[in-house]
Amino acid sequence: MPKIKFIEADGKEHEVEAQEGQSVMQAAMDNLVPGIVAECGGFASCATCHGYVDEAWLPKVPPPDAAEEGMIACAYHVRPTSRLTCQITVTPALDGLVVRLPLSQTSE
Amino acid sequence: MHAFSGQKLEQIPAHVPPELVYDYDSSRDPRMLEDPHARMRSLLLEAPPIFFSPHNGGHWFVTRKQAIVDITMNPEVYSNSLFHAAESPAGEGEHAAPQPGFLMLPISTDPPQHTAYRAPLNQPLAAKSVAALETAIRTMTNELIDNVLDAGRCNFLSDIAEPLPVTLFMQLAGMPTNRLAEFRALATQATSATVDHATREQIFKRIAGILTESIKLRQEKREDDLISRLLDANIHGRKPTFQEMLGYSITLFLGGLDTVVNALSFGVRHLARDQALQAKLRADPSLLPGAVEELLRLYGVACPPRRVTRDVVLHGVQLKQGDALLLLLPAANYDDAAFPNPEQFTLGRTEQHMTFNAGPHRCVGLNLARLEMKVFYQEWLKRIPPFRLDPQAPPRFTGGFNLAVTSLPLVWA
Ligand code: HEM
Ligand code: FES
Repeated sequence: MPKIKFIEADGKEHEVEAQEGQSVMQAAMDNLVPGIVAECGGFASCATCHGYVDEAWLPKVPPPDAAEEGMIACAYHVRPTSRLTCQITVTPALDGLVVRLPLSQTSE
Repeated sequence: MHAFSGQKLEQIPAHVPPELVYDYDSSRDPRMLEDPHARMRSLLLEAPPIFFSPHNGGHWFVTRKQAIVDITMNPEVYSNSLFHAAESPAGEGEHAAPQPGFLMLPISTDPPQHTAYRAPLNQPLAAKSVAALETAIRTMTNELIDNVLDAGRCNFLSDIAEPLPVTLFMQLAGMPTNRLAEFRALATQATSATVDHATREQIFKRIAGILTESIKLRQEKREDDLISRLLDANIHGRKPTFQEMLGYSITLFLGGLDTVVNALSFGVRHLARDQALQAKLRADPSLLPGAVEELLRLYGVACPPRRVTRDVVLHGVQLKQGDALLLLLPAANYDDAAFPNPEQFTLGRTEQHMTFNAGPHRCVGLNLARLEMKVFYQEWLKRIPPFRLDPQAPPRFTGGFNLAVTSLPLVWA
């Protein structure tokens, strides 16, 4: 099973085992990773599953579609590496993926 | 007979076990009419967590937070597309259809179609975007306060709560403000529970007519408003059709008016009955955002429906394809499993309330709603002296798809 490492804004690390085919958001929720809220349940409609994909991993992650891009613009603490983790599907190629989490999903 | 038909089922369907039947009429239950949210709490204590009631065509009610979250996260099984074209009860219930083939957007669609329809609303209604409306909301609130301040009394519902969101909607959407009075009157009637079926249908036609005019004007010339932005939205690689534009406008109109009106009214009623809380918030307005959130929890409004698309077991209850559910979000906010001492106003709760629901349809207007409420309370508490309910005229309520206030007379010294 692919492993994903989530790093909270304060530096706390959570390494979880993800299921192939599920979303990165779901892997975090299944493992009770703090810092991901996922209010809409994974339909690119809330921007509360926001994370920063580690630079080194960006080339391996398919780019966001228009719906995701529009929703990222609504998130807080946006950076060039911002993604909605519900829109990234776990594949064997993503084994070892590192995702950093923003200071807050719902406020400045 | 179909769910939400308004009629009472004579026979309980065979798949519904008798112990799950509970007699609750969401528009006429006497205890609900007495005090809607006290009734929500009693449903949690007295009724099965998922129960079937024969009223209004016969359908299920769900009252627990976890079950509702599970439902909303699974739109494939629990659909927002309520009626198949053949059985569509035009002009009935929440998803009333002014014309055949008409869809309320994005609310009556399911993912993945829903995601495409919802996307164009997300940015214009994001917290960062609606912040630009703060000054306008403050000005409107103060104008409404000017009208009642010296009288020492008002009917909060008709004097303040109803005009505020309508005025704001017209500005947001880009409606002609010279028709404000007409539109206000229509909006009030459209969402009033006391208007009969035929009249309501007429009112909807007139609202659709006004919205149609506004859309046509913006088709000719774009302005800086929501209708203009939607006209240029990209849905599956094309711009929205006229029907779709009407579908958006009517949903925004219905979704953004009655809900705010009632959330404000129930919240103000709470404050009118709690002088200590009024004093605390006057002394420290920085508590307001938290207080607004807790008032939203205590006084949920909307109870959205879902349709079951295949036989399924929900938290131990067998549901059949075609069954209808009403999600009692205002009851879920009194679920002890999520909110200890649920009847108590407690600042700083961390558990998310259900007033805006969860899942893909979670309210897209929640940032605007929160902003309207925050600015309103800031100005109201600053300018209106300690206020209470009019002892001669207690508030009145009604139910249905929304828990609602029909009269709220207030007095102050
Ligand atoms: C306190 C006030 C409000 C409450 C309690 C409220 C409640 C809700 C709820 C519970 C839903 C989900 C319905 C479902 O699950 O089927 C919803 C959806 C929606 N609301 Fe609100 N709402 C409020 C304010 C607003 C405002 C101000 C607007 C307009 C700007 C608005 C526009 C909408 C729209 C368009 C949807 C459909 C979203 C979708 O289907 O993706 N609401 N609202
Ligand atoms: S969970 Fe809502 S956008 Fe990802």
